[in-house]
Amino acid sequence: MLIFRKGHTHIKQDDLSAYLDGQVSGTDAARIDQRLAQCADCRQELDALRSTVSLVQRMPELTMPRSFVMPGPPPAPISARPAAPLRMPQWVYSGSAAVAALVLAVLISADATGLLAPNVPVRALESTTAASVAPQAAPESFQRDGKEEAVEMAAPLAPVAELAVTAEKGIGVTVTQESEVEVAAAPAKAPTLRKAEAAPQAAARLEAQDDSEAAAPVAAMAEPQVAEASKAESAPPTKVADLAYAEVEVEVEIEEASQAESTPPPPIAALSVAPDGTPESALAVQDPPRDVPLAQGTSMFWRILEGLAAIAALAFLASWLLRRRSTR
Amino acid sequence: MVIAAEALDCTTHEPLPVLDRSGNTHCYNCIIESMQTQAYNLARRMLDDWSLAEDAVQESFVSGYRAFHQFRGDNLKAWVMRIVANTCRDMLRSRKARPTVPLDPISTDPDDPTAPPSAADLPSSEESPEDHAVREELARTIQSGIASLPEEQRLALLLVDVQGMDYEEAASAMHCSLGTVKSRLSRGRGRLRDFLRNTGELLPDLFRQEV
Repeated sequence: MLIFRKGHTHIKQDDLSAYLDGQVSGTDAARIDQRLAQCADCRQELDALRSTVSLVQRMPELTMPRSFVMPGPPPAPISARPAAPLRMPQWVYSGSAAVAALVLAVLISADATGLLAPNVPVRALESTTAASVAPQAAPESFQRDGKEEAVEMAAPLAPVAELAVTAEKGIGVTVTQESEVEVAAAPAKAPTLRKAEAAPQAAARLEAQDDSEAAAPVAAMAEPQVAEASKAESAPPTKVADLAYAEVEVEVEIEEASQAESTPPPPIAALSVAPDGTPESALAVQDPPRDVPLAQGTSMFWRILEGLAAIAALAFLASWLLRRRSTR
Repeated sequence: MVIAAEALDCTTHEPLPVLDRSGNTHCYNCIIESMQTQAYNLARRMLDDWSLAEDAVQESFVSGYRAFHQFRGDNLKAWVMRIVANTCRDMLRSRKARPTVPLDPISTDPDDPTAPPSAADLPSSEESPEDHAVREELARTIQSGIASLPEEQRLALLLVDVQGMDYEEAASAMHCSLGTVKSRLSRGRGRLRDFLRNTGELLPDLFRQEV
């Protein structure tokens, strides 16, 4: 119980404290008494401890502000925790958020690559020619008033088309004007020019603009196209209807050409032929916009699934963050 | 301290019968009456905050009522003090996590009726104002010395030196061994002695000579 270090025989503080309280055994108490009789430092230490204890013991008792007697049994405790089935470990939330985010990512990438389109096979569409595309758009507008249909189709794209046309110096004809004008070869020439210019090659564009002679082959380019499209129809339309159909065809080309600006550029070989004005070049430029029906082809089921996955990912992430915050 | 079933027809309060583990009936309000002063003193000295101490005692008695069926009927004081000590520990922990700052400085004017009860409130009819002031200052110094101790050493010192419990009772209340009580108490006393040595002239002669 006692510390006997080299040249130092002071009593340990624990023993002095217990000695004060009479909590040491009889033999230990006798040895401490003996040591205290020999060591003045130990006596002083004991006196200091005793004074401290006596000061603490003499501290006045504090009066209570009120009585704590209860008027009745206390109400049952209200549990602030949620019901047991909802209390899941945190990894459930974080894991669910990760899985939902993964599903969302897979769905979005599958959607972007066109895998979710239910009925339009991608490869088969790319191999078709423009002639097969043209009759798809043409007959419906042809059955009704072709002119009105053309204006309706051109309306959403009017700003783009107008910008493109006003940029050209040689041809100051906008789309709306064009649909009002009596059907002629000249209006058909302008959009076709624009279509050829939609390709990124700036050099070819400038040549086509400034050279008035270049307009002639382009007009020639539009005409065989109309002829080809009308050949695809079993019953050849009248002269006026033919011209209206030509205009519709041109409007479709405007739409496709302006969308081609945002889509990846077509093969350079096809574009480089475009200023020449051959019928093959017109067909070649029409190839890239065939992706348009793909964006609208994704079925509603996959759309809803995508939305649900996004909502689930966000909800699980939010609940995980909230739980992390509340447990801190 | 076992209160017999006939003690339930008490006159000063509503009887509140409770059953301990061995099936004996007690009046819980009688237990509160006999323990509340000691419980409040312990909480007040532990927390060094009169309003928190009030909450702690109230909460301790409520949780004691709910847990009374676990009481084995041996040492009621140690049992109540353990609950109070646990409540104080929880409050100290939450105060450490979310420190609070009083909106207004607490008035220490003894004539102010809204002032909290002073640490040196005693019936002082026979002592002079000077003595009263000196004693009050001393009590405040000792209290701040106690408040500066680590939590467990403070609890051991309060249970043994203020509440007058022996080591076994303190060990039961602190839920630790006898040796732990002994060493915590010894270290707490040593720290408090050093604190009192380093402070003031208002201390008794022994400390004044040493300083």
